[in-house]
Amino acid sequence: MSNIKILNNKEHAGLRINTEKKSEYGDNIGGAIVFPTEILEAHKEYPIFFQKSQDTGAFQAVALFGFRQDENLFLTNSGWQAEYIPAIVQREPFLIGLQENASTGEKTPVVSVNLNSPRIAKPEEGETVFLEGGESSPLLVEATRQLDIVHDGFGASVKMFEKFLAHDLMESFTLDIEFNDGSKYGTSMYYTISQDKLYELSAESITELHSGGYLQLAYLILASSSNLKRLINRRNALAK
Amino acid sequence: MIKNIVIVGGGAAGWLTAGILAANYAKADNRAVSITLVESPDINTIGVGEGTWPTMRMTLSQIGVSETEFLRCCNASFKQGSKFVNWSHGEGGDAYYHPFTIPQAYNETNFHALWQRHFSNSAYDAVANPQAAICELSCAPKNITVPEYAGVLNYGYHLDAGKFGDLLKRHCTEKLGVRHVSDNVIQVVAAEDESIAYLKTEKSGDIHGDLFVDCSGTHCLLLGEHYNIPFKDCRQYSINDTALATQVPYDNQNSPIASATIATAHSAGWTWDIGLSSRRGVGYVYSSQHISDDDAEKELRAYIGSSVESSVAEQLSVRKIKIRAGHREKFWHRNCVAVGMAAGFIEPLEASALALVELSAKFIRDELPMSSSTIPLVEKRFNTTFSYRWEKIIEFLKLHYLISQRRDTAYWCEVSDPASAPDGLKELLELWKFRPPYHHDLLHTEEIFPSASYQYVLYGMGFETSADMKAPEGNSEQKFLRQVRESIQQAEKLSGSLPSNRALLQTIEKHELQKI
Repeated sequence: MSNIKILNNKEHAGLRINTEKKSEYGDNIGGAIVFPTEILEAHKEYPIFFQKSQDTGAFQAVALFGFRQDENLFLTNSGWQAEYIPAIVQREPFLIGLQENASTGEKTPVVSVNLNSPRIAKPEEGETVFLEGGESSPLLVEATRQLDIVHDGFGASVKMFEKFLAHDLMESFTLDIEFNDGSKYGTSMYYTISQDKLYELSAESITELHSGGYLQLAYLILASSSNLKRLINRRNALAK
Repeated sequence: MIKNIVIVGGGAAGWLTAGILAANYAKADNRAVSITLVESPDINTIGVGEGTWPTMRMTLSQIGVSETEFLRCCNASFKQGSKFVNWSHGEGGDAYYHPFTIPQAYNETNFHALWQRHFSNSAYDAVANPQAAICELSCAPKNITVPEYAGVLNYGYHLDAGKFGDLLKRHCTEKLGVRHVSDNVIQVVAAEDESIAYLKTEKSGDIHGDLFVDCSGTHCLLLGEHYNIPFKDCRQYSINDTALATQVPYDNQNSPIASATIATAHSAGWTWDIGLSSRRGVGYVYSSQHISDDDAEKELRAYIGSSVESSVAEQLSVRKIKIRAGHREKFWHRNCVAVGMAAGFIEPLEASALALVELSAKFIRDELPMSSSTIPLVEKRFNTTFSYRWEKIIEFLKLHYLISQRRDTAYWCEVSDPASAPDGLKELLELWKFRPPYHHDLLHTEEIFPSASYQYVLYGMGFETSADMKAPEGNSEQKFLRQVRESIQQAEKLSGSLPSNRALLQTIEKHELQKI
């Protein structure tokens, strides 16, 4: 159960956070949502596919870390072996809450914290959230930056998928993998950019997609699929 | 060249026909064929026929309507078949499903023999596939991540026919270039060769056309009034001549929405019970020879009172509709073809009305005569095909009564009397005593009811087929047996992963189904 509180430097003055990446902190995840502003970095490390939200059916881009819900092939004893880790992971245990103004009823986004997160550290461990004078620590400054990526990311994702769908650029595909140890993984839940459709775009469509940066995103996502081979290699190496 | 098609009448039949034709011919760059629909502003549409077949998914997709928009605009819900209650014995409690999904392995093996040999203690519909169990739980046939018009299980819709007509009208006029004339036709003017030359209207001048589609409902303005094509009365096979229709509110906004049409047999007919997202549509179809309108209304209110507060059931306003079972002797004559209730009408026991509109409009679309000289050939083909279809619909509906064991009222004695059945059906029933219905019993590839439908009804009602010569043998039997067992087990899994009909419709109110 989450225990979510709006963060403030009086109540949470002594709050400390575990920053290493470990299974016990909840980092053993098979993938995470990535937002358009992250794709330039994320595509170098992970295969990026699209999947539908179980609640809304809306598309979301996901970076794959493994082939099971709890399999993160980038996670080793010495941490998360990648140059880039998605913001939705990096912001933990912070999240965006909505604070309602009692008189106007207006809701504003505020930084909140899940006090039941395994990242909440014991008094002598981890890093501080607030400095002694009550200012934000570098850790909180960074977490806030990650939260901004997430906060802006949802709207940006909606726009990106509107463009991709309007230009009929997406297609579903079947993943069918046999690992060296003989085990198998298969799913049809993912979608990706169709190379054929991308290459067949008309000049007008290319101009339109390019002006919003969507053409580049489409190519980056397409290119990211070569990381699938590397992810399979990681899995095969693990089994030895 | 057929360049101008004129449709007379703007109910669901007229607009559906317009949509099916326009979606095909409006694609060409220079609108090869123009479509005009003239509709009287003074005539209300009947607005019954709230159930569709799964074919409607393909139809709507081809017309270019999004499923999300359709579901929202028409207060539509997902229909996975029909549940027949009290048809076999009528003592309370007998029920079976005729689901839209055919039995597991049906096309590869003799499913009836498998059922008889290995599952004879279980109901036919329970062994066939998970759909009956899913319907019983009021689950949807899919979830929000399944693309529009695709399903985990086969499905059609329940819809508000009035709102459906409005949606199609908007789509046809705004997106598909259909010209809409709101005016009364005051005269049908014939050419020298007796084909229809044009229609005179009150205020909008003359409307010329090469092909006229009569969707004027029971008025049957062109085929009936103008051409005097006789009406073929089918009352002898379908004696229900009256319907009382009403709309029942849900108890609350979370009441379950049934995922099948519930057809319950009563003393002199049956009630339909159709769950839309906004309300239920309920009605009693009966034979006025066997029950008075007042008594029928009492039975209807008693039925409704079993699911809502009786004070609510007593206050509902009820509308009476006369049913004249039958169809025109021919449907296409010269350059005029009738679609919908202008062509014919039969009680909505298997929701065939909109399905016939789809089939008729698609036939016209696919075989549209390119020149006047080929019209007689298409006319002949259309008439042969649809005479056969009407015959099969009448036979299939009659089957539901003929094999009933009910003898509790004069009505049931009469409708189950073998003498009241068409000869074709009597012969088939003789055959089916010794072997189950299968594909060769029916001649057409686009058969209106596939042989699986006959099996669902026959074996749902306890009909016995004694010897079965074509049972699968050896290895193949084991293979199909495994498939059937797996499919039965799948029901449990599906019931855990599929949302309720209500929950999915609520999600679709807020979020869209994706196109892919």
